[in-house]
Order: sequence, then structure tokens, then C-alpha cells
Amino acid sequence: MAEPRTITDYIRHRAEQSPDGLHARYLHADREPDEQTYAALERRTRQYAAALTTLATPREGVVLVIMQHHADMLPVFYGAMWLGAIPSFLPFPTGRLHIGKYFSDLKELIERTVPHAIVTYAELAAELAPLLAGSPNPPVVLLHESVADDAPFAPDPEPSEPEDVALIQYSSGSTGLRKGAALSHRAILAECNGVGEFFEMTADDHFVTWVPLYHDWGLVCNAIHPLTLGAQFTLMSPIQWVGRPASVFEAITRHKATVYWQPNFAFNFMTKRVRDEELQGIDLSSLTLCGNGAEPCLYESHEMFAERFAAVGFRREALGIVYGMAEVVNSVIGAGNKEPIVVDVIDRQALQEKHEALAVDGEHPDALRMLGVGRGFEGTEFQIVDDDNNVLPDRHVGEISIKSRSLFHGYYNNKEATRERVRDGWYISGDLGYRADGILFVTGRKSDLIIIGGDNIYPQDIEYMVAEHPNVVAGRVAAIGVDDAELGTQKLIVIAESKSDDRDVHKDIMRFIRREVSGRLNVRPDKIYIAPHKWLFKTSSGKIARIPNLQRLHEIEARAVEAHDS
Amino acid sequence: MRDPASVDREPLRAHFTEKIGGDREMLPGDEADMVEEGILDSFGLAELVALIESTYEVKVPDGDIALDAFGSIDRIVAYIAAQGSEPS
Repeated sequence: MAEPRTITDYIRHRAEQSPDGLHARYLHADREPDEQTYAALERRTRQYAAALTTLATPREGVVLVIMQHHADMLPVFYGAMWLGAIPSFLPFPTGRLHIGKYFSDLKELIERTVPHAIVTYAELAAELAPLLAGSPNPPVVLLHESVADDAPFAPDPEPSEPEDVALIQYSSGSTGLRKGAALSHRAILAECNGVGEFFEMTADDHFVTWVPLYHDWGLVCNAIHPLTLGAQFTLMSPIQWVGRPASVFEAITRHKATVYWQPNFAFNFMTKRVRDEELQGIDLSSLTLCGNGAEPCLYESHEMFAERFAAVGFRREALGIVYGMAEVVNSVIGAGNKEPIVVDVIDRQALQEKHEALAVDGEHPDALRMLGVGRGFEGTEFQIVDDDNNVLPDRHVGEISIKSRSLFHGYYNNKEATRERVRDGWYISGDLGYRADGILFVTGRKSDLIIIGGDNIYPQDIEYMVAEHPNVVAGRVAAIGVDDAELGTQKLIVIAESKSDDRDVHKDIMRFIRREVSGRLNVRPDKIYIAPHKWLFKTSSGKIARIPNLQRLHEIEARAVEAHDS
Repeated sequence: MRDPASVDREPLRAHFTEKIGGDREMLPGDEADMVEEGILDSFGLAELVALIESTYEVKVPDGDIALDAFGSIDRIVAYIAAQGSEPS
């Protein structure tokens, strides 16, 4: 067949060229892995496409895929694509998630997206039934378990054009304000190409990951990209990894993996949580790329990881960085490999107060080490702009905007949100950063968005939730994300005002906050402070001023420590 | 099977107390679901498994690691007690 131009072309191409080649290996905590060849991938994909055809799935109809870790996750997804329909992975509810919040978010998403079908597993389908019954345009539901090994096959795929929307990628994290980025085949393949060329990846590479497929990093960088390269990948469930972090090292060792992507917090988490005895027999020398991304990448995180695991063969040169977001598919700027990561030492105080990145020497008392995330990959450029969209000079902090050949089509069914973010072909990211010698450095977020472990959390979601407690003063709550070098990500601090000074009431509020926030948003508050009424500073426009409030809390804590010590 | 009454609960209570800022008064009872209480999340699992393995000398197989199984002090104690019956 001709050169593949779409993701579906790649599935057919691989199955034709290398039917017995290994596409993916799915690891399980309690049984042997499932191994899937390209022929099996194509066969299952055709079977799911046939099943979706019987449900009259139209071209461009949206198919939501909500599945637990399973070897059919990708065939279901690609099965929808086979028909020219538009699949989108969504997270499944876990024990951690408050089921009510999960379903109300899903309902909202269904109302906005109007999907034709949902493919899921029997247990969730039963729980979804009442929700869908109340929907004006309920999607049809397909149980993935119902598509047996001998199910009928779909014929060859509907022809798709590179510009057609291939999939919708929803942002991760708290879901109230989620937007779905509609991505074309062309944009996705361009992104894969950019990453692959920069890091010189080939069919001989082997990817290992625990990043779930509903995260763009999991789907694009760890599944679609290997498919385009003809490289194999090994996927483990995030639950297995988080419970025993060393399990990913075991997988890297066993399969001599070469590529392992993880978000910044995982560098700290692995360094801290993998135990010495678990390193016996571990060999990380096969890794040519251990890439960081999905949240701000920290110098300290790289150092601690490289130092701790050098003894088991980890090579510092394997460290890499990427920067991007779902709106440009995923990663469009990067460093590592031939262009080693640049460390820029700047004055922390000047950064905070003057929004400038003044270079200082390493001995400076306010020295802050920033990791350069690199230059744009082929077809991507970036600039740093002020609020009026004027390009700023080098070393001035402003908003990062990106022009890329992998720019999205827009947010699905949300033209207004697209207009807010895209100006003259530039995507305005909401991230802050500066440029020095052509290299991008990311310093934070323009908004108060909290990023914990690569997931976006909107502080407003938390603040509304906390204010539901009868003894919390409405509108007088602050949820603040604070960078934590030890965790390698942000931690969450919640300050709530109460008119009561009864200790039992305070205890009840704290318990309420802990339960509601972690249950409904899947994030655990690191610190909760119950403040007296009118404690919180507000700006002149009536918004909670996060930084001054945080400083005030630190002062109170410092005084408490002094009183305790004296 | 180890007698559940012989399993020292104190290290577990101390562990969860630390997670809520050190105030023992704020720690719910041994029967409380620490996940629902917002005290344990999946990122806390690895640390908890390490604590169980080192303090109680039991090996937790990967397939057993789940928030449900270790959601309350009572359930953790029951798990540790049950592991005592496994041949070492």
C-alpha cells in the first residue's frame, strides 16, 4: 500500500508488512501478560468496527471509550476510527473517585459532545443506565466483552483524509471545565514525527509505560507513536505502578526497554519509593530516553533520579524533556539526546518580583536552577508575549504561545473556547516562561490552575465544594497549589474561613474538606487551615489573592514554630 | 493464620496520623475508610505497602495491592493476620 497518511493506514500497513510483529504487551499484576501482534490488532480492530457498524455508528459520530486496563482498549478505539467515527478515551471511575461527581461530569460531557456510542465494560454500563435514560439524546452502549473472538469483521476502512478529525483528547484532572481538543490524523502524525526525529527513534525502540491511555501522553507518545515507528510497547496499569513503583523498572529490565516517559513527579516518587532491595536484578542501561513532561520539569528531580539509579545502570544522558499540550497533540518542543538539556541559573527573587530571568552564578544565595525545555521540533516555533500579545525580549517572563504543524482543529463543539485560545494560528498556552538563546524555559502558569502529578485541578472546583459546609463562609475559601521540590509537583493547600471558633466545628470542617476534595476531585489536600472570618485577603476586584494569603499562612506557621521552640 | 489481636496497630495509626498533619485527635477510628476520609490515596499505597512489609514481615504480592484491601486499619490488620497462614 501507499505511504500511510492516517492512523488507520498505519494499522493496515503494519499488519500487512509484519503480521507477526509484536505491537503491544499488556502487563497484569496477577497473571501473565497479553501479547498482541499487528495481525491481532487489525483483526480485533475490524471486529469492533463491525460491532459499531451494527449500532449504526455514523462517520464523524463520537464514540466514548471507557475501559479498564485491557488488551482491547486500542482495538476498540481504532475500531471507531476505522469507520471514520471519532473516538475519545475517558477515565473509568476508581475506588478513589466519588461516583456521583464522576457521573455528573460525564453527563455534562455527554450533553456537550452528544456522542453516538459509549463502549465500556458490563459493570460500568449497568451503573450508566439510569444516567443515560435521562439524557435527551442517549448514546448507544456497546459492551466490549460482547465482541467475541469469532465476531464478524468489518471490511476495509472508510477512506479518511489526513485533515479529518481522528480523535478527541479531553484534558485530564478535575472535570468541571473540561474541553476536548479535536485532533486530525495529520496533526498527530506530525507530532509523532517531530518527537521521533528529534530523539532518533526507530522500529528497534521499545516503549514501557504506566501512563493511562486516557491521558494524551499515554495514548499518543506511548501507543500511537510506537505504531507509526513499528516499535513495540509494554503497557502496565497505573494502579500496579503506583502501588509498587519498582514494577516499571522490572518491566524495563525484562524487556530491555529503550524509551520510558514519566511526568516530573514520578522522578521524585520513584527515587523516594523504590526500595533498595527492589533494585536487585534491575538493569536500566537499555534506556536511551527517560523523558520528562506533562508538568514543569525540575532540575532537582532529574538530579535525584540520575544519582539514585546510576548504580543500576541508569545513564544521565538518557534524560530528556518535552513540552506541549493536547492542543498541539502533545510534545512539540524538547531537549535531550543530541541537544543536551541546558541548565540556566537565575535569580529567584528577580523572577518573582520583576518577572525577569537574570543569570547569576551557582553560588548566588537566590540561585534557581531552571531546566531548558529546548527549541521547537521541526514545524514548531514559540514566542513569549505580554498581555497585549507583544513579543517580549529574551529573559523576560511572559505567556508562551506556539505555532505548530500539529495544532488542533479546535475544541470539539466549543468554538468560543477555541477563539479565546487561538490567535492568527498561534496557540496561547496559559503557561508562563522565558526565552534565552533560543531555548524555552517554563516558569509556571498564568492562571491559578493547580497541576498535581500532571493533572490539572481548577481551584474554583475546590472552593465551591468546600463552601458547601454550613460552617464555612460562602466565597471565603482559597485553594492554592504550591510548588514542592520534594514531591516534584505541586501540593494543595486549602484555607477556609469559619465564623465559629469551636474546635469540634473546625475538626468537622477539616474532615469534610478532606473527604469531599479527595473523593470528588481525586486529590488529597496536603494542608488545611481553618481561618477566622475576614482573614483572607481579596483583590480590589473581589478575587481571592492567593499569594498574599499564602504568605500570611507561612508567617503564622513560622510564628507557631518559634513559639514552640522558645 | 496470625491472631488479629496480636497485630500491633500502633505503627498504622501513627502512619495515618502523620498524613493528616500529626493531630491524633483528628484520626478516625480503625474501622473508618481512609480513602473516603481523604487520608489515603493511590499515591500513598506504595508507602503503606512498604510499611506493612517492613513492620509486619509479610510480602504483599502485586496482585493484592489495591486501595480497597488497605482502606482501613481494620482491613489492613485482617490482611496481615491472613498472610500469617501462608507458608514462608
